[in-house]
Amino acid sequence: MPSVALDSKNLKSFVASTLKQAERVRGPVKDKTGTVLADLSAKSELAFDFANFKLPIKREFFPQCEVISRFDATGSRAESPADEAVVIFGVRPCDTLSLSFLDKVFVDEQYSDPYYQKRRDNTLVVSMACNSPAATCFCTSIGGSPNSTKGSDVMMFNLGNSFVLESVSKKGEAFLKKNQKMFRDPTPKELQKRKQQEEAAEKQVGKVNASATPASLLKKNDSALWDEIAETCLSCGACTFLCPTCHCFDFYDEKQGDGGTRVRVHDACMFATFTREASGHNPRGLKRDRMRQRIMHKFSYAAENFNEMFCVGCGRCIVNCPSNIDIRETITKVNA
Amino acid sequence: MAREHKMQNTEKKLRETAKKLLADHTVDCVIGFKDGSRPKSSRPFFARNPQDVEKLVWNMYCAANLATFLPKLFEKPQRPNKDYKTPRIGIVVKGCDGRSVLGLVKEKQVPRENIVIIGMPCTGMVPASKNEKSSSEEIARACVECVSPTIKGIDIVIDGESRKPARADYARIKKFESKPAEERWKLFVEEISKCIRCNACREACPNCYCKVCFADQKKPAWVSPANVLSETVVFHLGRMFHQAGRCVECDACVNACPMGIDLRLFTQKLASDAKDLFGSVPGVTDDAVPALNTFMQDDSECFITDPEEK
Repeated sequence: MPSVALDSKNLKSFVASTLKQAERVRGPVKDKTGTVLADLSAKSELAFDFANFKLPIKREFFPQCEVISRFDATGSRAESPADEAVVIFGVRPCDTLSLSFLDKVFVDEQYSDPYYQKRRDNTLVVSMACNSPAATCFCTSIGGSPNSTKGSDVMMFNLGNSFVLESVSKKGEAFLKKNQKMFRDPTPKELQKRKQQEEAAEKQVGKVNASATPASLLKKNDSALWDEIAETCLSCGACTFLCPTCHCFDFYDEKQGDGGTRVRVHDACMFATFTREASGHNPRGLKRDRMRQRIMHKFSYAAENFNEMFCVGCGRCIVNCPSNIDIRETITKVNA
Repeated sequence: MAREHKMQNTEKKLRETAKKLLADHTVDCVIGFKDGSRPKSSRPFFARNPQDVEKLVWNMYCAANLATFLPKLFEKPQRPNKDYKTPRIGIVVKGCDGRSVLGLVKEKQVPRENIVIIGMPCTGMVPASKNEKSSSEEIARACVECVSPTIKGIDIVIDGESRKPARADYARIKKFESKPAEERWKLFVEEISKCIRCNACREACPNCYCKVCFADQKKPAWVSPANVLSETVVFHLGRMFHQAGRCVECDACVNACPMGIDLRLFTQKLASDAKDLFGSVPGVTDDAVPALNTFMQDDSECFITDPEEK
């Protein structure tokens, strides 16, 4: 389907019309803390002047905690996955790229995660190309781009007075068709501006030499490098909880009387308790070992299992690490 | 410009001091700051040999409290090791960090004879922005309200201009306390709801050195790792109450939090209570042990029986 255009003044009515097509519509709005992804109403003012959401998009499909089964004295029953149609606006291309990675982990011919899969099937992701990447962005070095459409259903380009939209998936094509009354054909000038913006954004993204990382890591298992990188690590989970590709989880049981619930909750390999065994022994008792795990998982094991490096270059871990451990420097050191 | 020049001078003196300590093997390493990877930022750095000191910096972005690294460095090896020697550590401190270090000594987490405390002049720090698009210029509230930018009882003092101590009037806490309980609860819930349970506050806090945090215990599991309100509240209340009479109001927790939770509102309440009820300002008043580690007949008990009273 060729691209279509939407005048900015019609954005609200476009959102209002999608509200009739889905149970929930989410998008970027301003609150006290900045721009956040929130449920929209017909009155919501969308804000597109942000670099990225503080919280990664994985949380929309793989929430930090969710009940997966309920039990009592008679047995246990699996919780049915939530079933509601959702549209999400304003997702950055790095975050949609992360969804294409998580799909490989959670949706498989043999084993699929019903909770993730259901949400993924029921959700339409409208991504927004990045016009002004942040100083901590490095997506182009790691297989992404400010204009990448991977993992998205519809791609939107913000031209100021109007938007250009393009379908990426079949689901996206049907969505644009359903709302075609909202759109007009883009002018040649708009298409030209879109191209210029794309090129300008690409150039603006910082560079890191990352392509050899999986091969380099094979030789770094016992390296003293890990002591050096992990020296100032506090063992908190800011990097992993805010990482769009980190997907480790744990379970705990919430007991009430004779029954209770089994809950799945995000885990972080940087926590000192991450692989602590029942005996008290911990094969990754040192933070150097946990740092190695985090980097190896992203750049070596994922490369081996899925042929992808599980990093999208969003820079969240760089911005939010209390000790400013910079993954770009880690990549550079590994490859040195 | 004048301020920058003075800071550079201070930085030079710091490097000379650290170099000497490392060169004559007084210490095995000096924990200080080096330039951060983002503009207008500094980050923790372990200088292990005399060449490393050239990386040490002192500027207005040295906000982190480096004392948080100390307790782990003095943990004994898990297996007996006859070659083990207790390390000797030099640590660069501001007033608040120094109060933390001396607090850790008092609580027997750090052997005083194995540390060299290098006190820096502090004019207030600018914490790194947690927004990828903006850098902050504002001096932290903790610094504006700091009652003790310089401290006694340290080993080496690097000269320079420091902030004037603020008067601890706890005006914000008094205002908070004057609100009805429902409103205070609403505010508490509003802030705490932002929490993603990443433990950055706990790990950045020098006082959070428990070998196994109550929040990590499994038998019994006092609190789950979920980011649901009941669990998050228990985690924060538990952590905060462990800080009563110990918190030096350095805001390491505030600066570490990726979600921008105003933890200071709550830690300061503890500090104001410690002062009002027990006459203790941790690290400033001359207490042999933290206020809640000791007992006196005339101690106030109203916080248990009638929290609305003073």
